[in-house]
Amino acid sequence: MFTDIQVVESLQARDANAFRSLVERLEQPIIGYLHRLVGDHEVALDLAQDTFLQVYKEIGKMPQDLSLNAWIYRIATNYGLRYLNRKKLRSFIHLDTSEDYHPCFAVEGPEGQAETRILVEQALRSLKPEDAACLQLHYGDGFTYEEIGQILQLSPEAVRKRVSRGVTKFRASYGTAPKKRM
Amino acid sequence: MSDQRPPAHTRASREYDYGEGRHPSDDLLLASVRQQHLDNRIQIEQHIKECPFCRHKCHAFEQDGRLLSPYMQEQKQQFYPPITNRVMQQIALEKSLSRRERIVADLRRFYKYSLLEGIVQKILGQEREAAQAENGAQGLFVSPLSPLTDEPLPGPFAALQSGGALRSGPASSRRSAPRSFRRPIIALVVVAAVLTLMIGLFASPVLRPSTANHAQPTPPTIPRQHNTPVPTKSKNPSTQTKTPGPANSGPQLVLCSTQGQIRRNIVQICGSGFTKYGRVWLTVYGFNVIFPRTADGRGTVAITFTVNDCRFVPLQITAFDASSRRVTTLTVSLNSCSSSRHH
Repeated sequence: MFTDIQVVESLQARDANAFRSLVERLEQPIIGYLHRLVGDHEVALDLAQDTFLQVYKEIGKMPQDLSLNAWIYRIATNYGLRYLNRKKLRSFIHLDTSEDYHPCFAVEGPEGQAETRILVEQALRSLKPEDAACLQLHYGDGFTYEEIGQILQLSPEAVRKRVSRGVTKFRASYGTAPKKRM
Repeated sequence: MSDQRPPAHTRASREYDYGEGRHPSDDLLLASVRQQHLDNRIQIEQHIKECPFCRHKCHAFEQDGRLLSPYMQEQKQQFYPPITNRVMQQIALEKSLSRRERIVADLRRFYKYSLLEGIVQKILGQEREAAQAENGAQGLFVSPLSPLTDEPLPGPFAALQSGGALRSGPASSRRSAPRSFRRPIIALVVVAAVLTLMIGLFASPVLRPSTANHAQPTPPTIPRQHNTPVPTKSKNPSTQTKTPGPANSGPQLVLCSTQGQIRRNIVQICGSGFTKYGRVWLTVYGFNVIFPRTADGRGTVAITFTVNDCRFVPLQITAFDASSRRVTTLTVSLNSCSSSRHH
């Protein structure tokens, strides 16, 4: 079992086998995380590939105070958030096909009989990408607030607030908000 | 139970004195529920024990966690195709590139999914759709914006496509477009020209209907149909519409706003008879707004917009079917606009 330091040293020495084993170890969690973040399977695969390429290229610049996993998650998060921002811009100027058909042409979709999973997914989509990233890292990947703070370059208090804000908004979107007037 | 709710000014208080009427903020409660590190955990837990309001909130947070965690864990267990080989191939490929080619590859990666790439993909998508229509292909619709397409593209755009082909696997496929790969500068110049054009278009109020008040009406160069117009009355009494062209023989536009929408100056235009999955450009003259749309499997499209300025009413809406090269026009008059003019 290699420690982070040994792995980083091997990577810095451009050891292809060490890099291969690192990718094999982390590809599933990273792709999964990006998939949950961007909501597109193919894009997640593409971003994960870019993430690992970036890791290979920039391993020499890895911050000393950060664990290897946190650093890779940081790169993946940056790629994911950049994709989401660009997607927003593209749809803003009608470059993405977000077409609004008239109801008379619309076909009843599965939303009518939505299950919990679909509702959860929709509620998560309504969050700000940065808040959603915090929720994904915390609930999905089990990172603590301190670790998320390292990944996103935030203080643990800021992460705590973001998670709380995300949960509140999620609850409001999902419709499970506690009654205001008791 | 209303006496358990704290006063509004203390609701989000972050004070650590959790005496009567003071409550920890939501993020502290959530952190406590999630067993995260807190400096004053003992105080907070003591408060939660004593305060029914905070207990209720914690219970709600636990419910949210029970909802979120299984969903995310379920997604976490999903298996994705391994990308290790692809990554290693890409690294090997980049090692073999010259410095200049490496810079171009980095640029492509940097611009991936950006506006620039979107514009190029959009143009390419339209070209492909037109080619499909010419060949009579009515098969599966391929999104023109997919950045991951592996199909070889014509001209200098292939260089940009090979950026998308980063994950497409074998290097041999990338070498199938050597000419354009050797000319990345030309590709970048073409792309920059397209971007400049689009920025100019975007900077003008063309794509911003809500701020079209200051727009100078410069109609886009979409060919007009020279058929004799055959006016037809709309079902809606507050509008007069006319659709040129022989009835039921080509694309048609109708106004399908409800009465309530008309009162709020919301215009909905429904089109039918277009090429299935074909590209349709809907232009609102005066406002100079262009709505690019893709017709669905029944050849229908729809657009919705709000008329904020009555100066350009009656509106002339032209739909250009890029596949069949046919044009249809609809004129819409809003009664609310004509009445406001009289005032």
